[in-house]
Amino acid sequence: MTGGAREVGGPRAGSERLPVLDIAGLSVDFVGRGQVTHAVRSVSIAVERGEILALVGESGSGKSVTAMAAMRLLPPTARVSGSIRLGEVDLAASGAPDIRSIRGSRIGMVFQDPMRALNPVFTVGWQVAETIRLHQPGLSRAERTAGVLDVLERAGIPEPRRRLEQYPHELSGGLRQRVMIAMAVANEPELVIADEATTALDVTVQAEILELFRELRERTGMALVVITHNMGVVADVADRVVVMRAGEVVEQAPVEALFAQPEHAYTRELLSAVPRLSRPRATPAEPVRAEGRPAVLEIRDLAVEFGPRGRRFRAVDGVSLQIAAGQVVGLVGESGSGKSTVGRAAVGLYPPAAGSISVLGHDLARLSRRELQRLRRSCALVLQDPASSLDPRMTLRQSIAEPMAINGVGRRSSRERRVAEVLDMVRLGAGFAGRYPHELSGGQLQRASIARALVLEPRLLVADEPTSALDVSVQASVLEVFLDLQREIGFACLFITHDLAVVSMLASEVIIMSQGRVVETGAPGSVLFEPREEYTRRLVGAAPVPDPVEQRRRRRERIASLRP
Amino acid sequence: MGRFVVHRAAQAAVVVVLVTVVTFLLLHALPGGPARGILGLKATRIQIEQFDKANGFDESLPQQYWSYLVRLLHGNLGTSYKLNQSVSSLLVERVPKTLLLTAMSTAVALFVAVPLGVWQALHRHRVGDHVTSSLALIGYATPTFFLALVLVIVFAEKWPLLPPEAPQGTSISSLLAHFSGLVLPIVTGAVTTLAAFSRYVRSSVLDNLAEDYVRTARAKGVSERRVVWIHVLRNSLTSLVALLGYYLPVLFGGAVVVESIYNYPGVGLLFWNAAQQSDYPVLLGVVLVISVATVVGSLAADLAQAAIDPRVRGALR
Amino acid sequence: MSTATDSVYRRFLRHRLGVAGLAVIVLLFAFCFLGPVFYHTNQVETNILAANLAPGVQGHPLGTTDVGFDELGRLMVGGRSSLEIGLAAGLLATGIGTIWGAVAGYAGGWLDAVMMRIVDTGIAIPALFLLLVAGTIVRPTVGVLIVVIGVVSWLVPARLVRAESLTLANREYVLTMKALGGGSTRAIGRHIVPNAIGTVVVNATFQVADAILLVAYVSFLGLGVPFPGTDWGGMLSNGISYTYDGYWWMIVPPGVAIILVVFAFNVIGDALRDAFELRLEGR
Repeated sequence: MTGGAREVGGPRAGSERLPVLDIAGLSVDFVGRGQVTHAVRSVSIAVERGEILALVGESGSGKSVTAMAAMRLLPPTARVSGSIRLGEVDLAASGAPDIRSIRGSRIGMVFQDPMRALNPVFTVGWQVAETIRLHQPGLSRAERTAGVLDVLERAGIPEPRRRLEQYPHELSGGLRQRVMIAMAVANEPELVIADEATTALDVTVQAEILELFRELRERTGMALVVITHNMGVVADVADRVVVMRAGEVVEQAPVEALFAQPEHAYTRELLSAVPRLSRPRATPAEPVRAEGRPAVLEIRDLAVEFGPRGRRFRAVDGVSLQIAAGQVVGLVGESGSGKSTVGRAAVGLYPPAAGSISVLGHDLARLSRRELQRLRRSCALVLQDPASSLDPRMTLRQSIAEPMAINGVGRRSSRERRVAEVLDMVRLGAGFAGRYPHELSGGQLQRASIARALVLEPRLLVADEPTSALDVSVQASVLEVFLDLQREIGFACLFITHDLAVVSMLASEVIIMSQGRVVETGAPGSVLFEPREEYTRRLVGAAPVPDPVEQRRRRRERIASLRP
Repeated sequence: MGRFVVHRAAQAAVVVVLVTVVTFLLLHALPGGPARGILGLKATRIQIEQFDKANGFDESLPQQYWSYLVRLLHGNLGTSYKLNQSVSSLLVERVPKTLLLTAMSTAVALFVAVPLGVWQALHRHRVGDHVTSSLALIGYATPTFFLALVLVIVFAEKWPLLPPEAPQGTSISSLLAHFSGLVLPIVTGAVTTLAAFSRYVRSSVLDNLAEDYVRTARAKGVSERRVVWIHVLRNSLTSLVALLGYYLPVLFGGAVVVESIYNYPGVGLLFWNAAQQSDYPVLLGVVLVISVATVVGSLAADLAQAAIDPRVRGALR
Repeated sequence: MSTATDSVYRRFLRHRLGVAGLAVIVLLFAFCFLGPVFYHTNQVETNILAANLAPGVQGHPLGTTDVGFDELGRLMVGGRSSLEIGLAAGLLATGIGTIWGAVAGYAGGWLDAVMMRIVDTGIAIPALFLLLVAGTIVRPTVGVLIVVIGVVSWLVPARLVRAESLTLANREYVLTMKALGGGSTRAIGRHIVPNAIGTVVVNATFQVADAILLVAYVSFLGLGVPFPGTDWGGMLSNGISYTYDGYWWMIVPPGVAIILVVFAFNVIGDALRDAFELRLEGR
């Protein structure tokens, strides 16, 4: 056993009642080129033994900086003041060798993107063994390997012996994150800090990883700091919650109390912005489908293939769907489900390998180049990444006017007028026309993307995860703008997302996809609340809801359903 | 992995064929056509006609290309009328010597460049980094023949420690027996490479230091030195191997200059003399062989990279 | 100008070595192109009577060459050809390479494969060898040297830009534009090339430096600018024949000039790379 090297209850027995981690009056400033940014301002947080503490906040709240300060992993441009105590040791005052002996042995850390956080050219076994070797140098090679196998197993990794020789890229995202966790807990630390550790994962995998955290806590009594922006995750794992905003702690409370009676206005705002999986109060506007008029988008038995000849694989197979004018259809699935491929094929970016795509009654495959070009005017696309959805070298005016330029619509002055109009429609205002993307926030960028999509008054809009990279409060406002415009203009919309709660707010029909195929279709009220298919049931069960009491009940149900 | 090898080898084969097309076309771009180019400017019309007939130069271009390819496949690179020797026998004699010199100066360059680049990255933006980076850049900016001159003046004239000329042996072992004569050619050839590669290693290490896996290593308690020398360097080296493949043409180009300065009996000197005498069969034969060597070298470098980089290896399995 | 360009400009100015390099280039250009206006010398007719004079003798600040040209004046004339050829060939190579690479990377598929095999072929044939063969076929002039050096040097920028183009072609703004029916000309001209500009500009400075070095090698191999014209490489290789006569003034000035200009362009390239916040791209 790896834990044998350290005597539990030895020298630290006297400090049993101290918090594991005690941060007091922590401030972090970043100094660069004559500018000082206050990232964290007099933050005090105590983490008790065996406790799971959630540190929540939106981007720029200082939650990650706080954790990095505790690990002393901030870049040299950071100025740190205040005290950070791990048990009896003052981390803020320790020298580099002392800190190194603590990192990985008394504090473990798990990061967001396990693909990038693991070294790509070393085996999993080597990387886990390194942690053990660094902090327990006395072990023999065989003991170390035994330790690695043991900790991989504790991290819930199947076939640990086979994993020793595998490289990170050979594992799935969930397994990679388990390897990260194995590394963090290999030396049985008193504290593990998980920085957005489940953000990059699918909900079903996220649920498993959160389960693993709880299990490890039960078994080893370690404390856990979970840094997240996701209120569902907070409700699922946390005992206590610290809410941060703009570098300051605004509220600390036990999890039930925080969700039941949030004291601070910001906490209330944050909670109300979280989309909730809810039965539609009133069914969204019924599709206006006059008899005989074709659907705006009709996909029949669509298959899309990728890869070179001989090694082609089907990303999408046998997908059919229909969207009428004014209707929003939600397409939901996990990564690799093929949902984005369907969306891109619908606007003609990928040719179908089989099946047909019709827009406004015209089969895309049968159209001439010119007819296709004319039809494309009626279609628009909004994509996920605010950082790359607009060309960084163009002003918003140029980007938003581009669809008109491509299609030769209007002249310079009329184009300008139209740009100003759509900027007003998305509530940015014409004043933004001269700005460059890097001058805008994520939410503003996505609004600008929507403006560009609307500039030619499309009949069909494909929105691929348009809000999933945004903070919840920003997401809420962007969705509101989007919904208003959809009602006003009445375009048909294929809304692609992984977020069941968002879909329940918007769509009049939901399509669940998995591994390139449609699993289930129906009204959100029935699909999300009375799922017929096993996969949908698992998906719905895995999505954490922002309510600790309700989430505890759901979790018990889920675990019970997984055990035969 | 098998599929990758086949794919990459097929690409290389296409490039080799294209190279033969280029050398074939060069031969026909010679002033007065291949016959005049080969026989020299003093050849008479009748001589040329006879020569064309004898060598099939009166046939159509595609036909001629075909017979050119067939000849190449039989190892026939033509004959040097100036040296009265077949080009292939000249190359068999000279190629190993050039490979020896190039390999040794590249080895020396890498041996210094890798540790230097890593050291610079570790001491980035400090005096030592600035001084060594500037020196490397000056080395890169110095024309090889100028550098050779300076080295000869310093180490052969002012302090006569080393001979100013390469040994003239016929066999490799005789060259190695007079190793002191190889020192200046090796060093001269190594400087440019050293400068280029230390710059590459330095920036590659710096780029890698910004990667997430470095933060993970630090969070595990790995020391800064180990982060750089083990975690980062292993990543940098994989791309260095591929870069070495790309760098081969530069290495061979450098060989021409170094060999002609030090009178080293390799392909470069052969080429240089042939250029002076407009000995086209030799010129084109050397271009072909060196280009094919480059293609094969880059192929080897790519395969080597695939072998040591688990991502490439895995993605293509 | 965009604020993005502004900030590149600002970051460049913070780079002290880069600014120094730029100053060196400006001074060298002034020396070569404005120098002859103030310092008249005869660089066409030889004067055996005044050959091989040491610096300072008979009013020649840097002495004279083996055929009696004033060395300082010759440095200006030679520098003009070196800089002209280097700059023009470097830009030509970057231009061809940028378009070639952008098209190949954006098009993908068989067109990409064909275009890149052509690049591979060009890279496989060492430039110096090709130049030597070319030199025996055509008589070199400044114009010919520009074209020849440009044509053998476009391959590396083509590779770099292709790699960049491959990633840019999958950016969301390019996809959105394609979905709207935008064509490949627009994608390449409006989105890919402008966004690869950092790589292109940085590479252009390195290309110019390499082209100037290549001119020097070509001259050393006897295929440089024909007499009575010259370039720094030609001056240097000419001076080298007099090494053992102690005529250092024929060697050191052109040698130092080449090192200085190549060094300066490389330093500028480094500073630009930092200013554009690019990562290393194979160099």
